[in-house]
Amino acid sequence: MSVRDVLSPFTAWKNLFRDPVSIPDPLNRAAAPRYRGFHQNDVEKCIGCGTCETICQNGAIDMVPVEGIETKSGDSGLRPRIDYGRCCWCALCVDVCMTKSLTMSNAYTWVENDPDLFCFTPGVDKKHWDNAELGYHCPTDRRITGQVRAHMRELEPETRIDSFVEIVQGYSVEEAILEADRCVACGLPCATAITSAAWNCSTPATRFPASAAASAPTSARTPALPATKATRSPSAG
Amino acid sequence: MALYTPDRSQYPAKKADGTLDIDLASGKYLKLWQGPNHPGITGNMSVELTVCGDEVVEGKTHVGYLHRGFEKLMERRSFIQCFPIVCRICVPEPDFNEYCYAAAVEDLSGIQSPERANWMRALILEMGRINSYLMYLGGQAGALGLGVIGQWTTYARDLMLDRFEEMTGARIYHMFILPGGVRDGLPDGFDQRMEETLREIESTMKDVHDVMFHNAVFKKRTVGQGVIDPAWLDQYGVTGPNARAAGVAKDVRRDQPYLVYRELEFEPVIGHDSDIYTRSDVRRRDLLMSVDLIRQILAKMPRSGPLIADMPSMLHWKIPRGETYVRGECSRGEYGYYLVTDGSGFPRRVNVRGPSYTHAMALLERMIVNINISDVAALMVSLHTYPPEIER
Amino acid sequence: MRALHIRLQHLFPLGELTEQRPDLGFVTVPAAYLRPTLLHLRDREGYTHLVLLTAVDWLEEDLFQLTYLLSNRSTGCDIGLRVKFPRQAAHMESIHDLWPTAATYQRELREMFGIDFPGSPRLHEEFILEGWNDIPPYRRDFDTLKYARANYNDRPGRETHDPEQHMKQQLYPDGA
Repeated sequence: MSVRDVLSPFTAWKNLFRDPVSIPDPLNRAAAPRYRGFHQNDVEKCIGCGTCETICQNGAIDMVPVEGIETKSGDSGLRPRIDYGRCCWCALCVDVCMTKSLTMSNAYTWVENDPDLFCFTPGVDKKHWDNAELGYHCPTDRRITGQVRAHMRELEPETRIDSFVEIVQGYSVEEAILEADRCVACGLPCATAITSAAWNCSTPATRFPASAAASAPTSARTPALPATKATRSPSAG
Repeated sequence: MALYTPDRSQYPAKKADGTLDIDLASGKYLKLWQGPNHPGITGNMSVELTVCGDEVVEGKTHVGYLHRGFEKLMERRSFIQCFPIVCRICVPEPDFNEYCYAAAVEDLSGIQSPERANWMRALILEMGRINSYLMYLGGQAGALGLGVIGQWTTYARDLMLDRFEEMTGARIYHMFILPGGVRDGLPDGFDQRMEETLREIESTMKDVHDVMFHNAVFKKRTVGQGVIDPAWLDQYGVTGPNARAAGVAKDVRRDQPYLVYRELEFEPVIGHDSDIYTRSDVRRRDLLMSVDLIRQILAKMPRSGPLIADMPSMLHWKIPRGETYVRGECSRGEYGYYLVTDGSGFPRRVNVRGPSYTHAMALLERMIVNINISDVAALMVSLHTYPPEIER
Repeated sequence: MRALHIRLQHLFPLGELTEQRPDLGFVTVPAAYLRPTLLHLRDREGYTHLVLLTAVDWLEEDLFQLTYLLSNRSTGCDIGLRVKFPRQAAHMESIHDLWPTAATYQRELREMFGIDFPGSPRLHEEFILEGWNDIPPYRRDFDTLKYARANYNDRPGRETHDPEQHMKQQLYPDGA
């Protein structure tokens, strides 16, 4: 214990002569350009495939019919509605979005008296951040679903010119597995396909074909757990 | 070095099963709950004290106020769906959860995260370490009545949160370290803003040093108080600054270098007196070392290249049967994930090894005996425990 | 790691070594040999740091697995000892006298998995779950979703539609 130990704490008083470091106007502080704020959805680009709902581990997303958007080939007519009581802003829904229609703005203040209004359909319920340019967008070179289509081999023109052999050579087993791996099992093409009875996408077992896991051994020990479908339930444990 | 002495002459005898024979009806003893709502407690925890006069006879740690069952929840989430929830296991320093989980999944699936992603990860982890230490210094000073330190360190931490915000897109739960890599690279002009932040933190730390560490009251109450005997380190699984303050240079970054720590120059910070003062000082110096590490990382890290490995489709990603353990050196000690997979799309078992698990339970219960009630808060904070990683 | 495994195999009937990384291996130990193996590793081989003790529930095989992970700081190596035993009346020898901190792990395992460790201090005091009245929740046969459904309510007004079913109904209302 020295004289310094007694006197040194009094240097704290020098802060009397400093300017405050607090933010003068905290209500209008803009978030960083890549801040993961409130959702935006380009409803014209969105096809209602429901992959965002599948990946949401909080069960925050519901697919709901929207007035003015018709079900047609390649568009289920549903749009994601997000329950902000459950959302954790992890942005997996943005990363997984097939059409890149779902993004996040960098807006982060939203005040309402009615808590039910925080369950909203982005892009359909108009919000002040709908046209915000900054915010989180999935970088194009990163995918969490395999989206690069495997190239299918074809016969060389020199060979084709004098033969009736099938030009398109199809996939090998490995390539076919990789190609099947890209399927997100949204069910949109299956709903309109003639063979939909044969390729019944809606049963959990075939929604995510076991063959897709190229590296996994086929094991009889399936876990005593529900298939991925369970995570779509709002109250997934 | 004043060591803990088990002098129980005026205290109750031990019963045959090793517990104390405390007769509350005699009026000699009093039960006192410190926490869960108490300014002198770290997070959602409480200590049940039995006191005789001013002196603690027995202390029992109670946790469970923030139990969310993450380990169980992860068993019904696919590997990518676990990624947003792991960070919630430790609020002030969430990145170690993300890193350890990602590294464990990569280890079992045979994926290698790219070089640039490893540098980004190391940068995030060091930034998180600074945040965690700043929060700790405020708490340690606050536990002894020095409220102003907490205000200064909160300011410095806020600047670091700004850097986190522009880099990861979030302030507290960054959700940035995906299995396979990281989400994004550095934003434009980040280096310069980071350098300004680091200078501001250094200047704050100088003030903290003057007011907290050269302080007669602080020294009087912490020097020689709450000593961890080096012999306890293995018995109680003590790691991190708690072990380094006892003179043992236990540091996973040096012992089993992960990420890019082989390419960085640093020496584990150690102290020798193993009391509360030394532990605070080790953490202060460790913080300054992290500042230096961030500068080294920014100077050496590659600025181009892939940020994430080629991954299978994460919607139906299955990992072959196996088990692994991955560890890192967080601000409190060894943080680790034990992951067991069974060939399905879900983890079979995840176990989180948080350093607080041993520090706040067995070690604290041992150290709390024979100290004054007014020192309990300082002792508890000096072990730097975060209850959520005890109960997960 | 391999050399250590060979040395240990001379002393104890160990299973095969699973080498996950050059510095991390897992080996199966019969329950009766757990204690001597731990003692040998701690006192002779320098594995003095008990990193963690946890359980895995192999429900399909009707087995519990306990994993004792030990670390040797001077060589930077870790070894995990796996002990498997039946799930019915699950119990295991306590190691709180080897590492005092193991008592905490064993308290948690008793509460979360229902594994008994006779002799472990304060084993039956509630650790995390106060007033729990169901089966130990970390067992595989405990269903979190069912428990959540029974004890908590969903937010009213939430309903979702399966894109495929919705599309079929809209485009082919008569099921054609």
